[in-house]
Amino acid sequence: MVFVEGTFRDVLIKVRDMVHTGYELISHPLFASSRMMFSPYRTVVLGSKRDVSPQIECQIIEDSIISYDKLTARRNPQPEHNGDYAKVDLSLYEATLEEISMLRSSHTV
Amino acid sequence: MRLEHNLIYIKDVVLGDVNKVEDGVLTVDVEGLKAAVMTDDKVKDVKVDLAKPGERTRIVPVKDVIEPRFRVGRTNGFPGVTTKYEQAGDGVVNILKGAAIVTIGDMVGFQEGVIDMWGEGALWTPFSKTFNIVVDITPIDGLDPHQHEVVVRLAGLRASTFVGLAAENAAIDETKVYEIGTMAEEEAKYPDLPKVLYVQMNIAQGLLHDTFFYGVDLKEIIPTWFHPFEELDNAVISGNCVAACDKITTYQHQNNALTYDLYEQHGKTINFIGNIFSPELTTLDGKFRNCDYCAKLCHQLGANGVIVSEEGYGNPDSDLVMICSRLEKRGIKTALVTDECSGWDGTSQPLTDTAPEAVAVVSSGNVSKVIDLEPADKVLGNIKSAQTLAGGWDGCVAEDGSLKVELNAVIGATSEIGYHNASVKLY
Amino acid sequence: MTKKVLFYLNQFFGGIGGEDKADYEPSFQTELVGPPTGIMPKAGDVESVGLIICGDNFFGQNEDETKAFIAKVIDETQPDIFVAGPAFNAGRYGFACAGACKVAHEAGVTCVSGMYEENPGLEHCQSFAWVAQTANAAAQMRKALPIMANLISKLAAGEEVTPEADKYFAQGRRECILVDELGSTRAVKMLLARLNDEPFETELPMPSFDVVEPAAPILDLSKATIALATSGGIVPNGNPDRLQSASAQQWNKYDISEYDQLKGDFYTVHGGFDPVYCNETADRVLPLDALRDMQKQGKIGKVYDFFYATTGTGTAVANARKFGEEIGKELKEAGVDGVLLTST
Repeated sequence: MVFVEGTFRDVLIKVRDMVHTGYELISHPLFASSRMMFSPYRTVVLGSKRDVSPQIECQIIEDSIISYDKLTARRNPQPEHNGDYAKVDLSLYEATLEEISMLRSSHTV
Repeated sequence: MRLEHNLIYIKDVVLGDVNKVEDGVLTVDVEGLKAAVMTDDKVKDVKVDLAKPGERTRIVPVKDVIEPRFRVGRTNGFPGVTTKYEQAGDGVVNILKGAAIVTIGDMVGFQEGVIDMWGEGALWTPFSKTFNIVVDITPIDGLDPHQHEVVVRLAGLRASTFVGLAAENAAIDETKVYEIGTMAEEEAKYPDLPKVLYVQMNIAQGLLHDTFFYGVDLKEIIPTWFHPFEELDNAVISGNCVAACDKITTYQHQNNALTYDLYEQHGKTINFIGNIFSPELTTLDGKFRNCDYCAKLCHQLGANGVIVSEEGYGNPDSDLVMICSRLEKRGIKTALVTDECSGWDGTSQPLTDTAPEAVAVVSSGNVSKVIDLEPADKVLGNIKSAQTLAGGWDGCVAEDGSLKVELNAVIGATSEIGYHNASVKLY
Repeated sequence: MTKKVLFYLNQFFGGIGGEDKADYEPSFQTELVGPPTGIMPKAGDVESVGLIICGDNFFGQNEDETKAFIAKVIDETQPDIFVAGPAFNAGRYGFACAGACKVAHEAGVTCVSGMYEENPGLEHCQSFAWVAQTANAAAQMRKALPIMANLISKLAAGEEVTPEADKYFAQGRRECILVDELGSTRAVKMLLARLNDEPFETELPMPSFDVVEPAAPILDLSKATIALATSGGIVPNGNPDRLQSASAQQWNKYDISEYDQLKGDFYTVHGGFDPVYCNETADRVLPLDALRDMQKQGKIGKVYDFFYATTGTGTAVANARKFGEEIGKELKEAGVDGVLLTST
């Protein structure tokens, strides 16, 4: 578990650095709606470190940073909503963990 | 399957004490409607208002839009959600065409979703043209956003069914008949027409980001082939709250524009062989699996051409291009519908996730386009949410109180099922 | 309402003279000469307010002064449309047209020009000016003027233009608009066209990338000859071959067989980055010093005797491709095994 003290973008940059050094990108770095791009929080799931960084994972994190920058270029933070953003991020993270467990854990002993 | 849409054209709406339609004027039984919404003991209060095209009225934050209907001789409601499961797509539906239930509920403070009934804002949402029965739902205290969303989602569906009772005995203005036989029958009828499928991507990711088919959460399915008429007959509902401009509201499921337009060509230029849900998941493994499976299904069904529509912006963009390249590599011709972010001035590269195979793409608009919303005479909903609409950047509130907002915030502005007429032109 | 047009020409098209008059100071006159006389009759409901003429060298060497002059004329004549060129493939003239258009654009005036696709001035004004696509030489003047006149006429009348129909270089601005047909209808039509092998136009063109197949790895670096190449504009002090600082038209090669490092004898002429650190030690852009170390340690076999240099900034893709092919051919014939290609 890595906490990034910073913005959504700082999290993306950290994810990028880790993906390029071989950590598996398990969950997509972006949310599914433009409004959530303005969230100050983001949880991304990474896996263990490998010897390779597959091109598709590198491409997804790089594209994500570009998408993020485009959409948030003119935005100011709205700290009054931080609590709600945190709630939604946590809830979506829990859903991701469920998705992962459906994919994997039901077949492990 | 044979589905009949009996259309009752609504030209005005008034509040009264009985549900009925006379000469195109819909009367809504207000107390009855409130009572229908209050049957859930988690609803503390409900307010009902009207918003008509041309009025200087702003509705915000919109949770969902639903079309009021009456399912003739069948369970009346949304199968698997508000009623027991019953197969949809076969039968008769009476529809109050031109009316809409608009639910308001702010599960989270940053929620957007505005409908302006007049002015520039009205141009950018399809729901400025409907006579809107606005249902503002306040839940009991202490609900978390999950529960709150469920309460408002179901309350909206019940409200639409209640108002739809007015369609039971109303005079029918026009009947549209939709009929498609089994694949074997249609193939025999149209052996020379290319077979076309419609792949509908749906956000399926958790809180405020869900879609349901017969009540089944799409997160939990792999891509599924279904009959286009099931969606046109209340089998699909929206649990999405945040992607205002490009989410598919329940109303848009009930009236999926791509399904309508593909059916229009059925038997003429194409053999329309059905729809497929492709849930947009959050993990890469999930995305790879669903995109592969979706393309495999299209191939297995013998499709020559496929239209793929997206829902949302951000991680679904990856699914869209992955589905496209997988289809094209299997020799299936695709056309995509998506919105884009080309920045405030339109000079950014529009799509981030790209694939050389995506040669035919319809753009349903730039989510970052800035529009002006004049001050409203009446705000239905939460004045705080109206302020949230603003405040996103410097200088977005003018002295006269008008707001600058991005299309992001406007319900249905850049509908990726092509339910609206926004596009992008290169200069 | 009749729209007012102000023209801009260089000394040659303005009838002042050729290269010997390229330092002609900017002047303003109401009487039209040269290309504007061919444009006006077909430019629709417009009237001319006059013509600025300026020598290309004067513009380049006194840009601020010239721009101030243009701004003053614009302020006095209040044009609706500013028309510069056509400049065809003339580089300095293209730069001047782009610079002049910039002044007009900032004053809120609609700008029209005409250039060849490789004119280096194009990228400096394409995003805001309406630049007609012309041939590369003034011999095609007769074809260029009607395109510019058509653009002026339509822009003056407030009519819609498109890059394809009106033959201008797309500004790259994607305007979100409302159209007659629903997105769903457009999508079905597009798919039908594809199924019937009919022409169709995507609303969202994908960027096209050159995909370069990676070469096979060098199995034994200790026996390999490695060459250095750069788009960072590294040249010997004094820039003997006059490599351009931007929009390169050439590449050069320099013998480094006698050098252990570039420091002190080489510098950069690249106009697109802050050269301070590079000029202290050019090895920072083209690491000869590091390669020599590796050679001494036996990690690589040999450093090739020549390095190759051009300037990347503003250089036309077609030129860059040509340079690459020419340099690659030489290196291959020289038996070089690998190339370290640095950019800035």
